[in-house]
Order: sequence, then structure tokens, then C-alpha cells
Amino acid sequence: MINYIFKRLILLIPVVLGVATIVFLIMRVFLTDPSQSVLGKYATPEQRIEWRRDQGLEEPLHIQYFVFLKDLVSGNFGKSYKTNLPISKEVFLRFPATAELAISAIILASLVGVTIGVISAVKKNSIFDNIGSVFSLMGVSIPVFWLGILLVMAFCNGFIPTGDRIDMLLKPTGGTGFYLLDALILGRFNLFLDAFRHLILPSCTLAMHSTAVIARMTRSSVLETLDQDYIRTARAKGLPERKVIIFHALRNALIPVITVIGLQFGSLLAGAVLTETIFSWPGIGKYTVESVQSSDFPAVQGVVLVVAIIFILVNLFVDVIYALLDPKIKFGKRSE
Amino acid sequence: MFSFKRVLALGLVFSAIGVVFSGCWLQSGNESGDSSRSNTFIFAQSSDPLKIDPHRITDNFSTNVNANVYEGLYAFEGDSPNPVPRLAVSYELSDDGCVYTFELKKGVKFHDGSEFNASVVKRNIDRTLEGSPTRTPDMEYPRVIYGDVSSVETENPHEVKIKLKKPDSSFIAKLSMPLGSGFISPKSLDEAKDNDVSNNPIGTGPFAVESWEKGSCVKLKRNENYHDEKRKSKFEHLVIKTISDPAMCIAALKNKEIDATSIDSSYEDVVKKDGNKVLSFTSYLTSYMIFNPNLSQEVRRAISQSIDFEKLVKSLYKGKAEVANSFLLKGLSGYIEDAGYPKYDPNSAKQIFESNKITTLNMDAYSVSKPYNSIGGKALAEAVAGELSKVGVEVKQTISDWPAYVKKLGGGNYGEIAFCGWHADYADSSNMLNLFTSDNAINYARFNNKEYDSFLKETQTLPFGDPKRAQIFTGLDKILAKDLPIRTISHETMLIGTLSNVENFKMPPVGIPNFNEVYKSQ
Repeated sequence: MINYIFKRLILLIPVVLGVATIVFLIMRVFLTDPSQSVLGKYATPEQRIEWRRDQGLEEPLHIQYFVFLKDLVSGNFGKSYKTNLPISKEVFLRFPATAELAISAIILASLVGVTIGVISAVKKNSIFDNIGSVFSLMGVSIPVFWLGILLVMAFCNGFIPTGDRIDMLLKPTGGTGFYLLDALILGRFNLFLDAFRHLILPSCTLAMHSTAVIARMTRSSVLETLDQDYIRTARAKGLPERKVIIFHALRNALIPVITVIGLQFGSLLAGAVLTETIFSWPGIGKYTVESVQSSDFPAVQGVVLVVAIIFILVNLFVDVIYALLDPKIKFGKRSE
Repeated sequence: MFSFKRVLALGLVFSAIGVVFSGCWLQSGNESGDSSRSNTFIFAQSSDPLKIDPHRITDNFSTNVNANVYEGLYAFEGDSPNPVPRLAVSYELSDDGCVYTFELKKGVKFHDGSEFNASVVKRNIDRTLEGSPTRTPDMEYPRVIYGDVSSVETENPHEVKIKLKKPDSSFIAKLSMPLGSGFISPKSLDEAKDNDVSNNPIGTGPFAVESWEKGSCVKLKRNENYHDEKRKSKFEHLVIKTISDPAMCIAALKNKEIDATSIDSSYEDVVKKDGNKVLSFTSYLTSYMIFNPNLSQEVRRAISQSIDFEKLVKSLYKGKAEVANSFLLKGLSGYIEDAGYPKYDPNSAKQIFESNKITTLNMDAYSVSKPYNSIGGKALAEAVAGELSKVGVEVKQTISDWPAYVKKLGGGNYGEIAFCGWHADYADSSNMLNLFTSDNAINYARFNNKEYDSFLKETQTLPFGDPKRAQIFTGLDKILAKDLPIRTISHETMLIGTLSNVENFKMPPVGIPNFNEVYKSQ
């Protein structure tokens, strides 16, 4: 397994290089002069050129590209044009917000999705199954921004906050940046409750798509498992149906579902751009949007690369977990 | 299937994650205490501040924070556009108009307890001057204020002499700009990382920075040792919160999560329906169209005559903007109601277009909404195109995003008509009329009139309140109306939505709210 992990990590290099090249070219071709947003309305064309020269943007494209790669190899993502802070720091500051939202969304999506999937499979072709199918279809079809706005309109009642992570008057300083965890460590129930209330709408919005995917996957996997001989054997032994479903069918059916959950988690971690923007969630996704809007090249390049690396690592982690759960999987060996 | 080894391995992985989190915690600080919501004023804006460094900001979102932390020699008070002394007591001007001697306020302390004095003024101004090693390209607003400064001399701790290379009668007005004029504590300057004091922002303002959560909010705490008891805030905390989506901003106001926010006219009814207030403020905003310099004056006249601006402004802005028949605005020196732009006359326009065989025109506009045009460039362009179609001219519109649009204007690569606007930064007509001097890089209309240039230059040598200065400004406004490099469209008001219990919210015409007088009724 060690060899397999090592090989996968080596594969990171061409993937990161490819992503870096694509994002570099997109930034240079499609985005406009960042000096507009940095220097303000009074700057003269000469000052803009001088600033661009300082940033290396007046160099030919291939020179800019090699400088970018050189910095990348040395682990330097550059500094934001707007704030002048290192991109690594900007991302680090925002990562806990994105991670907390992604974790809560995936927990919600897994609980609801698996439940719906199992009920739909067990009660195949019943009204429950039909409702589950409609829910899944809606989940994958509803645009996130529309759902977010609808939820805000529906629950804008004073109890459920419409944006941000926490009441800024309660906000703890320092800590892990994961407010739920910080609140638990501090033993402050009001802080935990407030952070939880702030999570409700964004995590429901973000979880919707994943819930639908997990529900569909669970349904098909459980249905497939229920047809297996060992389920028939369990039933023939006279086991109660509840036990058959939970201990025999579900345990085996969940293996592919866990893979799907892992992949969904990877994409949620990679930045919930729309959800974060709608709910003013101060995470990586919102930062990406703001950086694109102001043509902050280093910020966009840095964020996309970090996100790509996270996505690959999460996928690797999922593969490893998969192998741990399923003894039939042996890394690096052909099945016999 | 779940063997002991596998469960153990999973357990170890999660334990490792737990240890990492705990490690982070041990390295970090502690919690802050709770504060009461009633003691806090929360203002929402659509973007995060970029820096908390008054010399290195160029946007209003950063200024809303900076103006409460830092102060300059002069400032705007309440909703008045007139500069009042803040860290200065008074000034004297030399006969040649080149030396300003300021008497500084005594007993003013920075948030860190250090004293504000003449050497602080010198050090701060020197930081931004051309040729200084600490000057950075984003110090554009300091350049507007101090661009003509030749030296700063400290006579004694409470007196500072600022020498200019040439007379500048708008110097005091420029000093009142919240962008670029604030003074930073010497300690903060000493400890600045990469010449940016955002990490340790220390000023003399009514609030001090307590925390800045990137992408979310800046939390400010009342300066209990503030030098002006009358201006001391009624709130213990001021929070400047970022909510990107305007609809979410309105939802947050309805939910009482925020106390006030800027809104555009399309949300006015929604805010009022929620039981909240909409306040309207006079602003130095002018929206105008520019004509391609290749277009003959006769055709420019015809375009102006084709459009019923009264009707257009009324229908587009729903009473939240006045039709602009002059470039200058009410309250500015030299303002007149009607500078003499051609009146609506579609028949005359039709004849001119026919005689010049013009049946199509190209029009460029921006896609976003701007403070001087809250409905957005596209809606404005469509309305103008509709008016021109009534006189038989077909308009081909090109809509670009803002940075691409500005690039187009800068390169002169726009059609016969394009749209612009200006938000004055200080209360002097020169800040507006300067836009059309031949050497100005943002003179997108490429207006080149030597007489105009020399008259405007003359105003800088005349005393600030001199009636002759006002006469010249009036004359310059009339030149614009006569030569028609532009056609003014509207002067928009700025709208602020507040909770129903928010009282005395003030904002000067430059559009940066003053939070010192605001309070909440029970």
C-alpha cells in the first residue's frame, strides 16, 4: 500500500503542473489589467505600466510562465495584488471556514442521503421510493444559488441567521478556526449554538446536491445487495428483516457509498463557491470569486492550485479507506 | 469485514487529526468576551476592506474602516461637505499661497498611547512623497493630496509647515479626504510588515481595530481616550461587515443582523415594507456620456437633442436622481442649474442626422452598476438607444465588464458614444472639472481646450472662497456644455437602509458615513 500511496503522490506533480499551466493561461487571456483595482482611479497610464513592470506583467508571456513555475517549485505562491499578503496565508486564514462548512454539509448529506436511499431500496416502488426519487432528482437539478436564496426567504425570521459564520460579538479569537470545535473546547454552549445556527442554511444548501447523489447511490447499492445469496441465507435462517437490512445488506452496500461520500467531500472542500458567496461565508470559495473579480492573478492561481492538491489528496485518502474497509481490494495486485 | 486492525487504523487516523487540531489550539490565543448587541453598530458593505493603512487604500470599502481608525488634519463633519479642523486647530497661508502653517491640536493620543505631534505629521507625509523609499504605487490618494508638497517642516511639536511647489487653493479640501490623509502612529510604522500597517493599525480615530476576520468583518472598539468628547461614539463597538450579495444584505437587515447598509433604488420598497428606513443623501455624483472626439460638434449636438433627459432620468431612477443640466453639483463652488446643454429637440436632431447621413451609431457601456448609476450601464445604454431610435438612428451596443471597459476608454477604442461618471472625493469643483484638462489621463473624452486648461489652473492660485474662483468654475461648466465633449445625464442620491430604530445617521456627499453621531432609539 505504501508503494501505491507513493505512486499516487508522484502523480500529483503532472496534475499540479497541468492545473498550474491552465490557470496561468486563463488568467492572462481572459482577465483584465489588475492595476485598475490596485491603483485606483487617479493613476496615470505611466504609473500603471510601472506597477505592471514591478509585478513582472510587462514581461513576455513565456518569461512570466517560467517565473511562475520557478516560484511554484520553491513553494512560493506569491502575494495578493490587493492585500499584499502571501497567498498561503490568505488561504490558511480561510480554510477552516470552508472545511467546517464542507464537513457539516457532508455529515448532513450522508445521514439524509443514506436514510433516503435505504428506505427507497427496501420499499422499492412504494410511495416512499417515489418521494425519494423526486427528492434526488430535485437535489441534482436545483441550482445552488436559487436554493440558497429561497431558503433565506423562507427562514428569514430572526432565529436562523442569513449569513456569516458567527455573531461577531461572540467570535472567539485564535483557536482552530473551526468554531464548533472551539466552542466545545471552551465549553461555551452559547457560542456552539450560535455557530450551529449560522451553519444551518449554508450547510443545507451545500448538502442538497450531495444528498441526492448519495441517496441514489445508496438505493442502487442496497438493491443490488438485497439480491445476493447471503441475504437470502440470512432471511432463510429466520433473522428479523431489520437485522438483515442493517447488519447484512447495509454493511456491504455502504462500501461503494463511502467512495461516493469521499468524492463528494473532496469537491465540497474544493470550495463551495456559490454557497459561500450567497451566505457571505468567509471561506476559500468566496475569496476565489473576489479574486477573479479584481483580477488578482496570484490569488486565483494560488487558490486553484491548493484546491487541486486538496482534491487529489482527499481522493487518495478515500481510496485508502476503501481498501481498509474492503478486504477484496489489494493495491498494486491484479485480481485473480 | 471490519477487522480489529482496520478499526484500529481508522482510529489512529482520526486521533492524528484530533492531535493536529489540539496543537493548533494550544498555539493560538484565547477568546474575547461577549458584548451586547445594543452597544454595537453594524454596517454592511459588499466588499472586504483591502488594507487598514490610510495611505494605501483606493476604494470606499477600505475607507469605511480606515476613516474610523485614522484621522487627518481636516475632515468632514456630519453630512456637511465643508472641511472642519480635526487634528489641526487652524492654519495660516503665506502670501504667495505656497506655505501652509498648521497649528496642531494638543493632547491628542494614538490608540497605543503615543502622542500626536508635528514630527508624526512630517513622518507620515514624507512616507508618501515621490522619491521616498517608503512610497508604494498604490499611494495614489496621498499623491492627490501631497503631490505638490516640496517639504514638511516642524517648527515646534504643535506647529507644522507644509511647503508646496505651487499654490493649491484646494489643499485644505483635499486634506479632508478620508482616503490618504490619516496619520499612523510611529510605532505602527516602525513595525509595519512590507510597509503595510494593516497588521497593527494604530491611529487617533474614534475607534480602534479589535479584530479583522478576512472575508467576514472588521470589529472596532470605541477609543475611550478619544480627544474630542463631543465626537465620541455612543456605541462600544462598530462592526463593518462584508455581505457580497445585495439581496442577502437586505435579508440581513430584515433579520436585524445588521443596522445599516447601502442600497440601490430597486430595494427601497422592500426595505420599507420590512418596517425599516431608507435614508437619502445628497452626493457628489455625476453620470454623463462622452462623445468620440472624431464626431463633429453638430452630431454631438444632435445626439443631445435626441434624448429627453427629464423623462429618461425620471423613469430610470424613480425619483432618486435629478436630471443633470450642469456637470457641477449643488453645494459646489460655481454651480449653476443649467450650464446650457442643447435642449430636447428631436426634429432638429433628425434633420442633422439626415443631413450628415447618419443612420447608425456605436455605443459602449459597462455591465455593472456604479454609485453614479445604480441601475447599471446596460439599462442606461438601452434607454439612450431607445431615444435615438425615435429619431431614426440605430444604435449598436457593446457592453463590457468594468476593467475591460476602462481599458477601452483609456485606449480611446470606444464607439461614438460611451458612458462615464464621477464621484468627487472632496468638496471642490476643481476635483470634478479637472477631469477634462488635456493632460489628465482619465480625460476619456479627449477634450483639448487650452483656454479651459489655463482657467482651471488659475483657480488654484485664487483663495478658496474667492468669488472669482466660483465665476471661473461656472465658466468652465459652460464651456463643457458649449463644446460638448460630454453630455451630463444625472446626479444620483445615495440610499442607506437602516433599522427603524437607527437615528441620526449622517453621510457627507463624498459617500463615507460618519458613525460618531448615530444612535439607536429604544
